[in-house]
Amino acid sequence: MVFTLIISAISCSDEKLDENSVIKKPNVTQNAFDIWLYNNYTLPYNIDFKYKMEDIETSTSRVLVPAEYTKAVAIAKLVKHLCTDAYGEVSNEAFIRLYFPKVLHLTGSAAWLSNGSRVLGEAEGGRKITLFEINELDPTNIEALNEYYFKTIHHEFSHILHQTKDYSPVYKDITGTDYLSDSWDDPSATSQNVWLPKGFISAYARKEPDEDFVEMIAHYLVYNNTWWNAMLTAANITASGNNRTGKTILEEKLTIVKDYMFKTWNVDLDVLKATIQRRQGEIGKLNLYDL
Amino acid sequence: MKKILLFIVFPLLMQSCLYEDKNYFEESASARIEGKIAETKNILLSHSKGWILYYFPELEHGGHNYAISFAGEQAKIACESKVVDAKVKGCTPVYNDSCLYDIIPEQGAILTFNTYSELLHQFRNPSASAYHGLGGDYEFILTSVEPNEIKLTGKTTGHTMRMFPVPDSYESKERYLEAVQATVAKSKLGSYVLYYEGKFVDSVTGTARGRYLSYSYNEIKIKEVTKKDDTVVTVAHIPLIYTPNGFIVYHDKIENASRNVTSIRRTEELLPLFNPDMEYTEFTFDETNSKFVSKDGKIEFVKVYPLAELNTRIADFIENSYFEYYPGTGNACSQFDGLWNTAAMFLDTFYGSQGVALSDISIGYDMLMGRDKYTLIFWCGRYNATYGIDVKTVSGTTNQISISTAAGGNLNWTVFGIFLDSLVNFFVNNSPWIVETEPDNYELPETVKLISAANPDMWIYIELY
Repeated sequence: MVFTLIISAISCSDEKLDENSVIKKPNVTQNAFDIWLYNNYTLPYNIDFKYKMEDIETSTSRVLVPAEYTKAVAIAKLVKHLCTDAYGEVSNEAFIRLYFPKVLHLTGSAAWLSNGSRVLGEAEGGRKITLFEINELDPTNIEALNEYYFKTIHHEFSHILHQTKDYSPVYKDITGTDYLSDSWDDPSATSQNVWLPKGFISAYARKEPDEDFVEMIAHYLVYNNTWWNAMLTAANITASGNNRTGKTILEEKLTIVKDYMFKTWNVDLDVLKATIQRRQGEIGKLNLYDL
Repeated sequence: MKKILLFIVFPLLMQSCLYEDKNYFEESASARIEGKIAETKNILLSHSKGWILYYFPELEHGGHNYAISFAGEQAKIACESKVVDAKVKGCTPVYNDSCLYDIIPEQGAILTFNTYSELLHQFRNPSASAYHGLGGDYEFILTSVEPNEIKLTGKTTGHTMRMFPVPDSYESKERYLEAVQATVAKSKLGSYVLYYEGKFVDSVTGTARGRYLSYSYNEIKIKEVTKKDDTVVTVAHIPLIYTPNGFIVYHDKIENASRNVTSIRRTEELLPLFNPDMEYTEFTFDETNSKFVSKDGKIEFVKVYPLAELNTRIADFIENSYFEYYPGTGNACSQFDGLWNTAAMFLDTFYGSQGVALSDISIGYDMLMGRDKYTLIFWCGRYNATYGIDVKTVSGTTNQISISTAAGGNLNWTVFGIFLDSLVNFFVNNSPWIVETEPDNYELPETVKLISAANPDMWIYIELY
């Protein structure tokens, strides 16, 4: 054992690469933002925050433009304030370090599709989140921040959590016959008057139980209590074919979501929500552009 | 024993494979690519005035001059063109913009502009109406790097492009772009005819943006003047890039536009007048004779009438634009405001409950019927009323147009007519109109003021859509 430790210690020594090695240390100059990212994302959380666009990080069939430098700085600070630090406040750094997506990739434009629709964000295998439309970033518009960026981040992070430790199968049966798979965006299904009374928090939640589950978490966290209660009030009717109101269904789902987050991850969703809401109120005091 | 032999022989075989490995290069692949990147960076940084990039997005948009200077990790960008709402608006005053750049090891070495520049990425910026942007690149494969010339290939488009240092004769990259803009202003393509070795071939058309020749030539005539029998393509599209002296046509960008001939792509078949052995043909603008002449003097694009007679802004107005009138304080004379308010009031009174609300007018070529038709479209909420009009330049003037009623249009809600006729008559009865543009440059104006030549009290502002 002692021998092994000595060997290990020796092998960790700071030896330089052989001059003839095919592995070269990249000759990269770090700017102030690179250093800030290293200190605030890479070092504490092992997150690679890619603000310089790399086409291989998204589908090459998409035509995108990079993020504006100053807006990349701002969104990096916002994500830290509203996500990593918020989770860190109610749990711990290790939790973020273990489960938060390892790559955050920015693009400046939306990912427009040929039918005129656009992708707001996407994630790959629980490893990476791509945030689109950074060039439209307006830190004073909290609704837009939530809609375009933070709902996406919480949505994708929650996918990683339930893919690591699954939630109760009871959840999947609550509205088991109302999921629509890829028809979720059919024009007949996208009206709030249709999905809310059926007990879904968004049109996309009707796609399948996993999307429903993470949409619940994302919406619950980013929106304040006024918004949430207004949704419950609007859902307080019984959809055709159902025997319960949408409000009752949503409350049942939320109970399972909260129970899962607390028992599985030791995260009190209400405390986290309060933390995020408080931090949203602090955005105006943040220095988003200076490093 | 056999087993023992096998143990001895097998390692020998493995070893013999190792010794057959030969080094064809003195350095490893990664060392070579790293060396190339370092060398390229040094070359980019060595020209403090910067570089000119001949940039070709989707070929129908022609070529555009970028001026780029590199310092540290930043690239400062200037351009002769501007894209607004997925439309190329031609030359605008040069202004500076910057972004980060890098040279990365991928497919050799790639020059990437990997943070956003309003100018550098303008041909790539996607939108709902153009989800692929205008076919621009932001990453360029470096195919050849020399101290005075860098050849690049757009990673997305595959278009070959070229960069060269700002010539010594120009004080700065901005001065170079201004010289290009001056050429565009003087030589704007409009109505040209093509001559080959002094013999007339056919007429040539170009877009008002002036960076794209649509070349519909007479095949028989081509055969006559070139003495070639294999000419099959009769329509070619030729993107070009302006220079301070004229323009350049890169032969690999000439496109076959014949509807029934799609397989031909070779330069000599697409454009038999051009020398297929050359990479490009350079044309110089002969201002005295209003023509572009190839360096060998064989090919000439000659203006059929001096364009100076016809204000190019007016030509743009007629050929390629449509404008909008929006009601508002100071947007029209009081007489027009009165007519507008009356029409809007009556429409609201009689049809408001049906969703009719007069909001604005489109003026220009007909979006529905094609570019040879011009219309006044009155937008009225759920409905519109369209009147056919004729718009022409006024002979002998440099800045006047006439507007008259014409066939066409589609009054899709005929009862509107009695309320809207007075507004149509305003445009017709006060014609001809003096055209004032803002900003006052030689390209497409953002705002146009029409002033009645007969009665200066009659005027209206319209905005480029």
